[in-house]
Amino acid sequence: MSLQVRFITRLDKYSVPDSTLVIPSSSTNAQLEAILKGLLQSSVSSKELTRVSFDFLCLNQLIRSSLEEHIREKDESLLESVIDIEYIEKFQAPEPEDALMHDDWVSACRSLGDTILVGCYDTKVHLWNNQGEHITSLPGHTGPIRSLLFIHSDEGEHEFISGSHDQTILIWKYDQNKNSVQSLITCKGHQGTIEALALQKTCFASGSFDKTIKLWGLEEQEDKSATKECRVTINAHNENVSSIGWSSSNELISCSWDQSIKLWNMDTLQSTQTFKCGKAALSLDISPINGLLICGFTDRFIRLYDTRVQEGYVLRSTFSSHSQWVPNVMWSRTTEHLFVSGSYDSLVKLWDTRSLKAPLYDLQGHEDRVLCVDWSINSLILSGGADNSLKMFSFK
Amino acid sequence: KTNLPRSNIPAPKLELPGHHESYNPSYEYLLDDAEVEALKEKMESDFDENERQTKTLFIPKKYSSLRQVPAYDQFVYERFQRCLDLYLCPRQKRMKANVTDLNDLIPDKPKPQDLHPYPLVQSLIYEGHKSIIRCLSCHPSGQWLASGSDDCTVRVWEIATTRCMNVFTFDKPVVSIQWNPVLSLLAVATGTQIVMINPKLGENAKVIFTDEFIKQLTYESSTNDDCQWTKISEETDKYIRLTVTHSIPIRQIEWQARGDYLGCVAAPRSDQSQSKSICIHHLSKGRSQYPFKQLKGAVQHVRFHPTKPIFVIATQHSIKIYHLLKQQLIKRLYVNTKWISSIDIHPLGDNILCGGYDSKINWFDLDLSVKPYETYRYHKRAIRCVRYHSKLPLFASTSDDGTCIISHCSVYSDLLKNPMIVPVKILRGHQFSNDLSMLDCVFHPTQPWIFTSGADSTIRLFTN
Repeated sequence: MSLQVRFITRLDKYSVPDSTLVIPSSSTNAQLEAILKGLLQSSVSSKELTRVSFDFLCLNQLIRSSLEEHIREKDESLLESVIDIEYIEKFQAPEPEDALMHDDWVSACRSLGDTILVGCYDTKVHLWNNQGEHITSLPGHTGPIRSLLFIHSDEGEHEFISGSHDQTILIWKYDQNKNSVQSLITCKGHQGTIEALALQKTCFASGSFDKTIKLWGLEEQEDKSATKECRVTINAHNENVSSIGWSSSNELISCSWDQSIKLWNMDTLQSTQTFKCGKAALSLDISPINGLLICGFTDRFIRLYDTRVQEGYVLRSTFSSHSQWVPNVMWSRTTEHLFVSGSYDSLVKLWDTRSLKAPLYDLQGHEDRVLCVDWSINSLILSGGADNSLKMFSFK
Repeated sequence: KTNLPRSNIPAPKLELPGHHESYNPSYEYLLDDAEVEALKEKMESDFDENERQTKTLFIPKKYSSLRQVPAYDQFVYERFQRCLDLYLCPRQKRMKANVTDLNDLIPDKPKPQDLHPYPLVQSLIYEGHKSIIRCLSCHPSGQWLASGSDDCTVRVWEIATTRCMNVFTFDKPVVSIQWNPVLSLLAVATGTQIVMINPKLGENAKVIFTDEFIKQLTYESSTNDDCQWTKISEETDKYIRLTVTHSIPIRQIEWQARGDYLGCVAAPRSDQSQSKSICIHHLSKGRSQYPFKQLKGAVQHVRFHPTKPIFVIATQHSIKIYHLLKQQLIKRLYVNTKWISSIDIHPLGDNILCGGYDSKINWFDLDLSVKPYETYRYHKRAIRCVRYHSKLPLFASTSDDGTCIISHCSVYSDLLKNPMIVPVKILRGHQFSNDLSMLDCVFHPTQPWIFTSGADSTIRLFTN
């Protein structure tokens, strides 16, 4: 059977004339790419054509099977009419770089500029630069570190926040050039281990095993080693608050082991919406570009939610590929559709939200559970695991 | 002579002729007019028109000799009625149960898919012990898990990451552990000692309060001649706070729901006296009592009632329920199994589960009767542990055949409705070692998760 297709794109570099082609319905990605490259031969040099590689979208989903099967799943009637196929440049596979070894499990990681922050089960915060050199280890906590946030770092002066099992949060100011801790502020108040931290411009929120979320301010303190009290406490959930995130400057989203995701209005401190999800939620992240929410669960699925929808289903899609719990998910900060997930099955997977059945890439390398992932810098994916290593994957 | 139903029902037997049918009956058989009238009236009143047609009214007559006896006028009629009885009366055949669809025989219980949530798949494995893990206990907050093993250690694990937070070593194998429901204290039974540890995990305020509380307790050593209570200060040992030393090896310990009393089962040898087998320790006073001195039978398992001051003791053959304040026996339950291995009380307090080494589980409804409400024979081999979930309507039983069977149990507050029990899932996972596989199981306090400990030195978490 043959189908009528039309190639469309947003890439100016690789545009083709707007004509309808007839191709066999059993075409897969490889054949579509061959046809496209044939069309581009006239406008693009052959050297560049061999280098570049394309991915195809039809009906807003990446084509992963034959064209006919792909359309039949969505809408069979389209087989009769002209089908629009959008082509995009294929996202390059990340290349594994060095692995940074530690003494104990790596449970939290963050990157900013050219510095990598690592929190470890040996209660220390480690700083590395992105060439793989160890800068320093900072003791300060008395329990394993579960969560890190980077406030800013430039020219050797770093400011960051760490939350730990010992129920305190420390706000650090460290100067790399002088190798000294300028200030260390302790935030006490939680009655349980700190599981999650989320940063805003002037404040940050923390979620804990004591089922509350606390809001802390980031004002300049006179005393360099003071103890800070929290501004506000919200009795958020019935169980451990496993992850929190800011969706706008006064809306906070939290997910918990009590199988619900709640949206909080920070002016009124009330929950504006609650979604029940049936399984304990382990992690969440909100895309800075389009505001969509992804959550990782104990039933090995990652679910995508659109919290702004007024009617209809909030749950948009479910991604299943992991074989164990998914305690870490993170959106790309610059690309709309991409996110990365780390799981206890020792795999880190790079997903495109338009491809539901399978991730784009599986980043292998860990020998034990993956405890944290980070994609704060566009060109670097970090993942830390129970095999004491922090693995770095980079893009060109 | 069999009692099988016959396919044809024989006709009613005719009465043999008696004295009043004789041609020369004695005078007492003859009826006078009044009696004949009475008989005729009886015929009218007792039988309706159709029935009267089949009956003949026989009036005895006396004849002095046989040659005076006339022909019987009703003869043909009676023969006719008899013929009708023989061939015309409906012979009803016994209806057999005609089962066309065998599925109709299955009782009408809900499907497992409708009874979620319950544990489904194995998620995490906690590895670290070197020998059989005999006992498990989950912290009331749901963040930590403590396990005791035959390698003489107790390990405390962080549930979410399977990280072993702490290891405590003792001299003898650990047979029983339980977290105190109120304080930050873990009671461990090894050998003849009960050791209470504060692992310093969880809410900081509770940890500090527990240490302070124990520090200010004073024990008079004269009240207990058999049990030695010793406090251990912070300087000597970072974690161990108290030890209670018995003279007999201990088998099981159990905290009462308020966290102050600790029930303890000791296992005396058969030549020693059985009177010291159950001991109740009072933490805040440092006293140990032996309230059950005349108990017959080797005690297997004890449990405190969750809300009332009631103590349930399971010996090998029976379950006895005692009221602790009134100090009397309330009930004795008659068990179906030959050797009880473990019991558990429903969180609402009215139902008791009992598992035995002959692979039977009995469910007792205390409001219903002292005999088991239902008996389940789902397992193939001995049952080691039965456990209720404290929030969800689930119970689990682990057995030597390597399975843990999760069943849904809805208990209704309506007294007329009996509990509905539906087995929903068989969980497997542990490997066999020395013929044992799954030993102890404990539910997570709030989530539909279950931890099982095995002879392969691992603890496995099954989640939904």
